[in-house]
Amino acid sequence: MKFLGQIKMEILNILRSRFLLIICILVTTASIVIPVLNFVLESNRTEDGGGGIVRPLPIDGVIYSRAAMKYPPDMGQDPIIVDGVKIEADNPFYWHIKGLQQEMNAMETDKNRFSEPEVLDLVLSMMEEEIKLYVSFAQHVVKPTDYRVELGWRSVSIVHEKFIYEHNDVREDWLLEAAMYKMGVNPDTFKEKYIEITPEQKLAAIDKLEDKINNLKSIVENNDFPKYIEWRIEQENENIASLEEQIAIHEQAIIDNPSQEESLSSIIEDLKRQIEMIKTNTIPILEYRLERNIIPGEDVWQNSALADIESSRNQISWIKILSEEEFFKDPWLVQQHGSYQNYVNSMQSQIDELNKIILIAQNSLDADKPDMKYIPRGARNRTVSFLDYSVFVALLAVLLGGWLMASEFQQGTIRLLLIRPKTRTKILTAKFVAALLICLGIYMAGSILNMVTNGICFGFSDFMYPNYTVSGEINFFAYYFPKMLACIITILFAYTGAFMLSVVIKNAAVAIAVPIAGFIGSSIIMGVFTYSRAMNWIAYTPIPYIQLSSFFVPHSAVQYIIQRGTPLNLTYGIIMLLVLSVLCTVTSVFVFKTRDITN
Amino acid sequence: MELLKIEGLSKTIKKKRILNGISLTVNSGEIVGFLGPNGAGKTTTIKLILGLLKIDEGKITICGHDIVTDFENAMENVGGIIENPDLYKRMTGRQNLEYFASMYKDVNKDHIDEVVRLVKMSERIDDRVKTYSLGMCQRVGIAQALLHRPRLLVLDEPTNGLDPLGIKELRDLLKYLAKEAGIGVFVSSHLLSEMELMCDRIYIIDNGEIIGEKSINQIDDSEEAPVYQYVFVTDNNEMTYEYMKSLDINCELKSDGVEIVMKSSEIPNIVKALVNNDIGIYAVNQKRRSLEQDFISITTGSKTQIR
Repeated sequence: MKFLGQIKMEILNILRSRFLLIICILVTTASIVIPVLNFVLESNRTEDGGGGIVRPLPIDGVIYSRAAMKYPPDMGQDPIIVDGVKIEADNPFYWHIKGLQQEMNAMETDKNRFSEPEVLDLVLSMMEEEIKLYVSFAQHVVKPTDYRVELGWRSVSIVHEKFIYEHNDVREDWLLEAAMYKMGVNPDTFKEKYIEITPEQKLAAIDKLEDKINNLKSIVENNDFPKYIEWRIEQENENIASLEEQIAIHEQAIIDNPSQEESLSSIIEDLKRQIEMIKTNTIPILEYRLERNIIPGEDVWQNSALADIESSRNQISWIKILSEEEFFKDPWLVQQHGSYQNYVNSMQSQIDELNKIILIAQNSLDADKPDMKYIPRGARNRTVSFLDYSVFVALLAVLLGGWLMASEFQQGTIRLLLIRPKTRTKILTAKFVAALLICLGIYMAGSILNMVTNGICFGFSDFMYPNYTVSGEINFFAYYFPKMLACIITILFAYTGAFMLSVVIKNAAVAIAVPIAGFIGSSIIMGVFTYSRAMNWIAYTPIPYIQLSSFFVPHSAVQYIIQRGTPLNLTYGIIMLLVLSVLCTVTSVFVFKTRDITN
Repeated sequence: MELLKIEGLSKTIKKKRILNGISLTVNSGEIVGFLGPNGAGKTTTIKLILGLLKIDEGKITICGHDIVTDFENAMENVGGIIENPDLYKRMTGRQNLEYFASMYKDVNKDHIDEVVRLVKMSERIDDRVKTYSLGMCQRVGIAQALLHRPRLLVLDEPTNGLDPLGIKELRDLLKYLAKEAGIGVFVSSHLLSEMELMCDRIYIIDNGEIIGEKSINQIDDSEEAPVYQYVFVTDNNEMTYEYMKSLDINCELKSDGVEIVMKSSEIPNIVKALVNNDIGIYAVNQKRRSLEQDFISITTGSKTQIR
């Protein structure tokens, strides 16, 4: 009881410094001010109508990444009107239509581009068809993120092919020239495929293409998602067929020329891998989309989760751990990893990381409750990101710890302090505990205030969703609080270090400046080593662990380093920091106990 | 009763021997002066008594409690000031006192008020220490030393920064505490006249050693004849000076005459000798005898200069 009373007096003693009191209050209120500011700034931004983030669409990366570019509406472009249809500048087809129109105008002035004027006429009518197609799509599809944008690109080649069949009675060289300009056909098979066919064959081909185009158009017009999935699966099966064809060709080549076996067999292997991925990854995901009605391109978390699953599975299929013998044949790998064991560890940790991503995505989808990572602007994510607050409080702890004892020496109050009927150990302990309690109190209060403020600003409902780990589903609070408590170690380490310097050096400025320099230095070292090789030794120093919060906050440098295979071990780091903290404390007590007060 | 007992105390700081086998005692109800030139070891001794420095050799007991083995009980019985009373400037005088009071077993608010009244700081006690003059700090410093009703007071230069009235008040306060409450007071100072007016007994320290211990009464009555300082005013002071030198008398030539320190019984002999030498004596003035003369006479021959 007596000791508690003493600590209370020491806390009062510290907080009677107006400077420190104000700093403590500022640090505490920062936990409320930061989310509120974010909330205000973000809600202003959406009111402006300025761009929210458009995520790249998951289904077909190459095509969609182009489609996903969102043209700002205020670029000063006027809408185009084609056949009475008005197309706004932010329409996904706007720039293509506009480009075609400009190209057509340019061609009409530059008559010499083609060998005959008739070729120009053919090209122009092909382009008109193309514009007509885009316009019909643009009427229904107005958002660049719409999944139907893809169908527009897919339809163009069908329209062109149909045009060639329809005009196979014009002069062959004209048609070839026009077709080469728009499509890049193979001139060797051109004649055989398009010209030398019977009228029945021609009609059948046109009908087939007509069906295809109508099918796509009806998907677009009716926004027929199930039909879209059906079409996509069809496409993937065609893909498989063509890959199998290529395999057959390569296999034949090996039989014909066995000396090529080594290079060709790796190509075959790769093709087989691609087929395998389509069968086990792409198609099941498409079926899953249909089943759960997860429409690509919509801004829902399920799309991110499916994208994670698809790309992670894909990446895993690419990772191949070389045998020891193969590893040493590659000097670059040897230089990169140093030893075979490091290489294997690095590869294994990459695979583990990817499997973890898949697991989280899968569990979120199955339970239909998203993991925190899929709600990046949700209250949970903001709360976890606020673990970095511990670094902020650690700086306050350095300030308090460095000032605490040094100021007693510098002001001379130490002389009136140590003539009391308390042993020096007791006096030091009371002061040590008092300032530490202030720091921890601020940290805990700040963290909880931040959590509540996040809930108020961004919705408490997000807190109700679970998070997922390798060992299963976990309530968010059970997920968060251990991490929050672990981050106290950063504060403790900074505090004990500054406190020790404060006792030993007896100069507040030095005792504060040195730990802060250490903090900055460790950040710089981490920044430098993130991009350099052979830094495994760093895992055995306290440097990567000082900011423990970076192990928990998404997208930090530490997580990048872990992904690169540096054997950072959180448990080891925590133990090391705790041991160092205890050493600093013991040193402080020892030095203080045995010191002569000569000033 | 012996409140403070120091036996064979030695201390070496940075290879320099500051104290060399000091022994002294302070009894209940007694004001003991600790007199010595700067650098003699006064503050070091007081820091050792109050536990700020570690004892190299020797033993200090306060009210029977060894300060090394029984620090907490020893400190319960002693209050002190070392050098300047450096208080927490960010706090008020009262907050300072409350903070220190919290470290003792039972010091209540009423007692704090009482102590504040005693040092006449009631009006300013709730102002921040920042705004205090040195004298006010000194008063609060004395208040904190008295907070827990100690049986022994150890004061290092307590009159520093006090005005003459303040010094008199402090003197009266200490005398009151010693006589009425039976407190033992151990006070160091270089203000010699101060000591004389206040102390019952003094120790004189020089170069880390006690070179004299005298009670004030003892000084008054000691030896067959008292030692006084005399100024001889003659028609030829230079000649007088030279003559006294030739007689091996310790003397000094001043503007108003020749100054000597001498037992009164020797004066007629000197006058006779001067007259025999045809030196005309205008006057032999006896200066007021003070501790200063004692102090000087005791420390004469010391390497240390008195400033």
